[in-house]
Amino acid sequence: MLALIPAQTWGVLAAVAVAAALIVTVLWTIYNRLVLSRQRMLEAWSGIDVQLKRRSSLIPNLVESVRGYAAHEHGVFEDVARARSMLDKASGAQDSSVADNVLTQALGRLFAVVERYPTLQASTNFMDLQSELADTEEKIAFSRQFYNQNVLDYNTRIQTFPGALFAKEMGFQAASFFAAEPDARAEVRVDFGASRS
Amino acid sequence: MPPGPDGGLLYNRIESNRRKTVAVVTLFGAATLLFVGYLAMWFTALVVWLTTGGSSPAGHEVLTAKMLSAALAVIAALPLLSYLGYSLSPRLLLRMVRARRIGPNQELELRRIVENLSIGAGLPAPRLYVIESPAPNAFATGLDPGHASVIVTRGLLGLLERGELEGVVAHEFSHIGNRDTRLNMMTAALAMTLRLPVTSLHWLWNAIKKKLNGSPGEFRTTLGLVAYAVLCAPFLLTFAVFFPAAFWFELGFLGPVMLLLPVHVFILAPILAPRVSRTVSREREYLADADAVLLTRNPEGLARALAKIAAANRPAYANPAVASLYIADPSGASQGRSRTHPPVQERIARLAEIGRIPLTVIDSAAAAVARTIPEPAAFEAFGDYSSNARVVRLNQPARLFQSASAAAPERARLHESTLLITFAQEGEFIQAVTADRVFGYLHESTPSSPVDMDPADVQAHLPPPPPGEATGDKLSDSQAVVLIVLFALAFFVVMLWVLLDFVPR
Repeated sequence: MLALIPAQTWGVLAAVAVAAALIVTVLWTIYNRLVLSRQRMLEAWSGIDVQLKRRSSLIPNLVESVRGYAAHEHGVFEDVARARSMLDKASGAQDSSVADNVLTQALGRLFAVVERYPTLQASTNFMDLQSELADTEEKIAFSRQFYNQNVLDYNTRIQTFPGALFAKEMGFQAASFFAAEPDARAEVRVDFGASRS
Repeated sequence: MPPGPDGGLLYNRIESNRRKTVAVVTLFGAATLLFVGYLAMWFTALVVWLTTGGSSPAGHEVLTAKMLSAALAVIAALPLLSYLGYSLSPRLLLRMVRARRIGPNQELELRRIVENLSIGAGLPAPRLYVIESPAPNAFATGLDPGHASVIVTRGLLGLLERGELEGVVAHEFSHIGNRDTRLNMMTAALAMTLRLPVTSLHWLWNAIKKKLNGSPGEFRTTLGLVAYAVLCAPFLLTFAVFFPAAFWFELGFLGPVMLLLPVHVFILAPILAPRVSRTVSREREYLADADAVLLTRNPEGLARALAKIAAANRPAYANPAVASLYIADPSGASQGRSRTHPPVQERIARLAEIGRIPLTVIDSAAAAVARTIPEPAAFEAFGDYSSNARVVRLNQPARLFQSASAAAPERARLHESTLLITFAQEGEFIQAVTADRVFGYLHESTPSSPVDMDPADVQAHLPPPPPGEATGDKLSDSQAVVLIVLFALAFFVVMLWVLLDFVPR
């Protein structure tokens, strides 16, 4: 039966098949690359999450060591505890970043209390916790930076040729950068001057 | 944190640097292909000519086809050789410089910096090593980020503050992330291949010169040397003259091109190859600087670190008597960094431009370091050194201070059996200089034994200098041997395949 098909039609069929294969390959490559970019971005986000959890786990020790010296400052401890449980309960990017800002401000108030107790400031236990916390803040900053770089890469890929042609149909939306909220910029920068010893 | 650099400017610079590297490596690759292709073709033709007594029974078409296939086969072998060559190097290098692995509870500040930067870069944390040398330096090895190491010297850890150390570590991270070690090793291997004919000729020429000067040189007897030269001559002549001429005669149109190829092999390629290798290396250094800034958002840290390191490595002594005793080159040009690294001033200028830092800030940091190195004038007061210089070996670990007082800051920590050149006594301290050019004051009570050695020879006991920030700009002897052996094997295989045609069935 195949012999019934004339030679010219074979040629056209072959050309069509090759063209179709090319198109499929191109689309496949574009899709895979976008998926890879999105996956990296999600992984970077979970990296931030890891550091936020790490900070969260340092808080109880910190609160206890301050409570040992300034037990009467109930208000501040409650603020911190509340903020911490809010962060633990938060799910998803939006809730986490809001809760994180609230916790940062509560910690700021806690350190303002510490300023008034020089013996507390000098205790080795507290100083260790302080430097751990400083290190964690730095890790959070770096993981945010890495996340933002991935967002930049992903957004660029879905907005430039060839990704832009197919991104919407394939289901890729633009992601948002992890920017600090305007009032969170007034983060209390406690000077851990003693930590570089 | 200080305001970030102008994102547009930095990204553009990084992109253009990467584009330039790709262009240069492509050109390099093309030059190598031409080179190797010609070599393979010539070798095949030579073998056929020798085995068939001067004429090819199979006809020109087959000969040409075989030669071209031989060229392709050897070209395919090159990546394999390069890969084998550079996969050997990291472990060898670490052993050579006596780097010590940093344990999990040591150097916590450095560890933290490395951990945090690896989060920022999205790369696994590299292994950390330290070299107990007072000269500040740092470098990175490893073929890919999963198998990388960062090595720092004790001098670097003592010299830099946290922000500066962060900049240096970020620079090394960038080298790892950009896979610069792999690139440098590949270009080094290619450069070595391209220089092979010239190096062997050069070797022959040196051997002849040494023989003429009466020294034993490379050959035991003059006869051996003559035999080698005589064997080489026909190969050289066919390679450079007869083969292209025969091609021209037989094939006409390809002739003039074939005449150009020996020129490429003997003149162009050996001159261009090291230059290309150096250019690639230099541009990657700028790229690593830029990537480091992108990672830390702190151009000032790295700029100050570079200035401090340059100031600390500058030998401070202009006094010729002292200079001749303990360093080979008082001008400081012999640090080995000038071949593969761009000048420090240019790097600092670029960083200052990115971060809009006034240069005075960086200069003052460097000046502060330079002040800790004693002024030459301090020595003038002590008269002629050479008569007082003695070589001793320490019997226990000791410390070198910056001035003749135990309250002075420490300049270096020396381990047992370090060689020292001692000069004059000053109070309870003795002026001393180590084999790697660190000057300081040693307490007189430190137990040491005199060594019967000329002070000028102490320099021969230098620990091997750290090779600079990215390794791989030199192949070690064993790597070179492996490369040459594999190259020879490839030729052998090709020759067998060609000869099979002439085996009677």
